[in-house]
Parts: sequence; structure tokens; C-alpha cells
Amino acid sequence: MTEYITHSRAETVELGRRMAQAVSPGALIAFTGGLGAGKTAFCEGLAAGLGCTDPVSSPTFAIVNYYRGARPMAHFDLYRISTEADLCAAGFYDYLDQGAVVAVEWSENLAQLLELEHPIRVEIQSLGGEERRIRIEGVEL
Amino acid sequence: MKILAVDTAGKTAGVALMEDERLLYECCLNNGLPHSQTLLPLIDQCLNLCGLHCADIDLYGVNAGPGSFTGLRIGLAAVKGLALPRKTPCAPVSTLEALAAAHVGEGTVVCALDARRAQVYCAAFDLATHDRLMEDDARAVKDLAEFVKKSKKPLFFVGDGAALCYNEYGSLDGVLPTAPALALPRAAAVAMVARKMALAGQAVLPEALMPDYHRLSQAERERAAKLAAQKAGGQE
Repeated sequence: MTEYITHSRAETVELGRRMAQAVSPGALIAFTGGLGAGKTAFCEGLAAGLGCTDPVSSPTFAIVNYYRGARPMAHFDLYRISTEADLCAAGFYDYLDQGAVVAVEWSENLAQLLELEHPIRVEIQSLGGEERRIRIEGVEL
Repeated sequence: MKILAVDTAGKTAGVALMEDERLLYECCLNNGLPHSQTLLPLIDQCLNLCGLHCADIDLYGVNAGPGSFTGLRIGLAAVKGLALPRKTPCAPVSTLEALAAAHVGEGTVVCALDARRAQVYCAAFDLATHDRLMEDDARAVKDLAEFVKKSKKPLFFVGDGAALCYNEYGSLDGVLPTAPALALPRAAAVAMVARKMALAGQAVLPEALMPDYHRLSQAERERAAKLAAQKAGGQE
């Protein structure tokens, strides 16, 4: 596990962009961290680093946003998903099988199920202001 | 009877057009492009080259499951849309039955789709009669051992889960290899099963066309039933 401290939203985005260079197609990235922690900012960098051209937005209402590009990314929010059937219905496994990079916010909700897919873990903690502690496990940046 | 059949249950996209038992057109696209981009152009090309319009189609056949959730929905939604204006009958075909329908001979065909975590959606059929030997369901690859070992006839696997099954059972006596390129899903087979279903009165109106995901395996359903029974027992 590696720990990073970012001091601004831009630095959080940049860390996401760096991670894009280290992940392979079909990788699952499980995010934990409360509201406003910066998960979406990190994902913005991740998508940009993967060469996605669609704009990144929070998937809270849509459950999943799909960003097309050189290396496509599926961006999930599991806040309202609580069963495996719902996860399947949302196409979660289809995106993994397709080889998209799958980033999951609120992964706490289905932690045991996601564990089976050996996810890369990203834990984001607010240290006040724009400062964040970001712990990354499962990949070397 | 003109039948337009669509397969988007797995990684390949297929479209076929049959007039009764005669195949007029068939394609199988296996280049990894998403079905959402390829299916409608494939259907369009099929109808154009055959000189037909949707108004000429008497029956739509489509794989209703099991398969990829996204893929099934793309196929079903497309067919539903094409069939709705004229209320053209639709046959919701079992993906596994359609896989089997493409093969003939003497023996047993086991159709298997990868369901992740060492599970497959599978079913088995007699090759000569196409009688069903195993219901469509999600099962652990290992749980097929008894069926494979007890099978008295030669047996082979098709579908995108076939490789998983060959890893487990490929070296057993009586298990035959298949050529992967010839074991891909065939839209013509979907059309054949659709025709059979329509003749048996099993076609439905487009609005009744629904996916059948078969997500829960029998083991999972039994566990859920047991837990529910325990819960009910606890409340008494």
C-alpha cells in the first residue's frame, strides 16, 4: 500500500491521471471515502489518463457512466445498489468482460462481492480544506 | 413464413433471415465492436440485400437468455422496436437451445456460457433428436462432472464457456474437441428454434418479450430458500 497526500483538487486529478498509466484493461478500482472526499475528481484524472473523450460526471443518479475513448472506462456509484442481481442488471460484469476499466464509488456497499474480482483499492480521506490522504493498494504508480 | 433472427447474447453479433426452412442470409460478427453499434446496421444490411422490409417479416426470433445482461437487452430492445408497430410475433429463444440447434450427429452437445467465478450457464441436448437432457441454469463447472462421466454417447462443448469445460473435462474418454470457429453462436439456429416455437404456439407479442437472465444458480436458490425457511421458522 502506498500513501499520497494531495493539496488541491488539481493534484488529486493528477494522481488519477498517473494511475491510468498503471492499470490494465478490465481492471476494477474500488473507491472508499465519504461524500466530497474527491472520488469523482480522482476519476476525472483517471478517465483523462485513459484517453477517454466523454466528460466525467458523478454517476450518483445514473448508477453508471460510460466514457468512450482509447481505453474506455465505466464509472459506477453503488450507493443505491445492494444486491448481486442489481449489480448484474447494471451491466457491471459485462463492462469487466469487455475490458473496460471499471471504477466504483461507494464500493463499501458490496465489499465482499467486489473482493472476488481482486480490485485495486483507493481510499480517500479529507484532511480539511482541499488536502486529501489517498491510500492506494494493488497497483504501483 | 419469413423469420428474422438476432443474436447478441455473447461477444458475437448475428443476424439471419429464413423463409421457412430455407436460409436466405446469415452473418456472424466477432470483431469485438459493441452490439449497440453493429446490430442495427447488420439488420439493415440483411433486409437490404434480401430486398425486404420489416413489413415482410412474419416472425422475429431473439435470444432471451442466458447471456450477457447488456447484450440480451440490446437484442431484445431492437427486436421489440422492430416488431412493435405491426405487432409482429416474437419468439424468445433460449440462447443454449439455439447453440445446440446448430449441431447435428450422434452424441451429446453441452452448451456453456461463461458466467464468471468458475460457473457456466449451461444445458445439454441429444444431437440426433435435440431432446433436452439438462435444463438451462447456472452451474459450477465442477458440478457437470457427473453428467459428463455418465454420458454414454460422445460429448462435446460449445459456447463461450466451452474452454472452461474443456479445461476440466477435455481429457476424459468420450469428450470430443470442437473447432472454435465452427462452435460460435449461429443466428440461423436462433431462427430455426424460433420457427419451431412459433409452430408450437410459443411466440409472443413484442410487449411480452422479456429477458431471462438465469442469474441465480440452483445452489444459490436452494441456499436462499433455506435461509428464508429458517427465517420463517424463527418467527413462529
